[in-house]
Amino acid sequence: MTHICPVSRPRQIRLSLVAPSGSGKSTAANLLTSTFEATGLRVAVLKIADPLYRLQDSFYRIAQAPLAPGAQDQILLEMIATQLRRIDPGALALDFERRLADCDADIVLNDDLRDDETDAPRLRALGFRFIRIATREPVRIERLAGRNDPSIIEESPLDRQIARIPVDYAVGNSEPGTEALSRQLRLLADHLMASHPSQEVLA
Amino acid sequence: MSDLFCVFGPFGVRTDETCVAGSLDLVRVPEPDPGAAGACIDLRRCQAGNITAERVPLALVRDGEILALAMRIDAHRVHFWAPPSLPVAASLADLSELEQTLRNLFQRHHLALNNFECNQHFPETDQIVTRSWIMDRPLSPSALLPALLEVCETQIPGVMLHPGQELFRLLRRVTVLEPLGGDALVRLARGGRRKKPAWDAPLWTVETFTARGSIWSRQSAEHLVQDLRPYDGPAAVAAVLMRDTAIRVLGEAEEATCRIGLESLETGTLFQFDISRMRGPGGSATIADLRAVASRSPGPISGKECGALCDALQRAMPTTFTTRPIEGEGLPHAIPSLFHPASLRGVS
Repeated sequence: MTHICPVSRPRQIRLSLVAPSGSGKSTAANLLTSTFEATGLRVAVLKIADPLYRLQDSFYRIAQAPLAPGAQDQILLEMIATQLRRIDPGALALDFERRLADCDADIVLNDDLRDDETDAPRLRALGFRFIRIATREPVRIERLAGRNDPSIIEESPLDRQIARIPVDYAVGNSEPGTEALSRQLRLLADHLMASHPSQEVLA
Repeated sequence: MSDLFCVFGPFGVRTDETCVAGSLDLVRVPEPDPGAAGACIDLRRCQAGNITAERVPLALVRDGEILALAMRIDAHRVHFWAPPSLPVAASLADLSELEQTLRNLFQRHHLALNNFECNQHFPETDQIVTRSWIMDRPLSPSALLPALLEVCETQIPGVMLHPGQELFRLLRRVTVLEPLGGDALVRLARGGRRKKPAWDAPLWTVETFTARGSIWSRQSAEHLVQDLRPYDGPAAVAAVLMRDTAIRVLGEAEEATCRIGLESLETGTLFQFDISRMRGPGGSATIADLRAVASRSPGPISGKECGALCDALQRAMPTTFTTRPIEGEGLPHAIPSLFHPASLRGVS
């Protein structure tokens, strides 16, 4: 008779940071990563738009134009996303789901959700909880200007879709520096870890 | 101080219509009670006679000088208002000159005079919730309304429907939030009856509840402006922009309210009687609130008068359902129980 030892592991906490460009999603993702890792949890950041960034890099490589690491040519990225969705509205979500299935981190963070019609419902069905990063508009515009992106769209149609995504949590990020945001994210992390089903038994 | 007189005359003086000449007369009146927006005189305290279309209060004069214009005439009270920016006082030789002066003043200030509610300031934070009831069965306020209006109008002595605020219907969507790391609940609704600072400035009604044992109490209510342009957004965004604090969204509820305005004939105290039905993820609830909004008499609102009105309303509630009045230090509110099923409703 084969005796199967049940092995338990924590269920994955899946969080999606939702906000218009310049609100501080990447900053919040970095702070949350640090907070969770300090407790010994493993964190992975998965971007829905990962294929778009790969295509952006290809465009700039073909054009032999420089592109700083992490820089976003927003006009180009939105054009690529629009055409990709025209071909298959679920293409980005499907690619994301494949990468998620291969990810065994304790915490999965996503910080680039924008589409409310296809991507948001799909992520909700995958167990993601949505955290809205709220920033006062003048502060957000100032941050965008200081980011040195090759192109900026201050009022993007894609950002408008974000307003329609129902959220589970929200934090404010209008103060200078990261202290206020960090404090709120620590409270959020404590709440998530305290309320998350901690163990599932694998037979 | 010399005597104060109220000028009575045809209503047509206010609207600059042709009137019978020589139709003004002066009636000595007591010194007015100070009010939120100006002076208020109880006509029952002077020999003013009956008010008709040909004989309405128009202005207050002393020593031949106009001090204030009549802004609003209720059943027994006249509210007077002195324009803040333009001089009202005018020396008058005789009543014929007085009539023309009054016509000019009413025309010049007709907008301010017509906006009674805008000149009366009833901040909700100052409202006293005297009693709440939770109905045992969820009921539609609209279905209760005809019976309740008749009861308020005819069966409760010493109270009348407040002119101009007899009935309001409110329909709104409220979001219930929980600030992380605390023990409060926040209820947020877009819009409010307060005047907005600007025509396109969105206004939010924010109420905070805290729990004491099993009873949730409303601690504060305020109206805040939070602009969510250019993208708009859910109430949670407005909440964290008002105060940088992490929050959890517990859910949304639809709230339908019928509001009846009542006025005490004895003291002029204004009351709001709300019947609200809320539907949230935990179910639905119908609650009634009686709030003392403002007093038109000097001094605080009489607790004895509030209690008497509460008792009269409770006796007058339709008998097709039972009610449980809830009192105590910090009145509870049913909304938190729709989102925290473990919370118990207060029982008297």
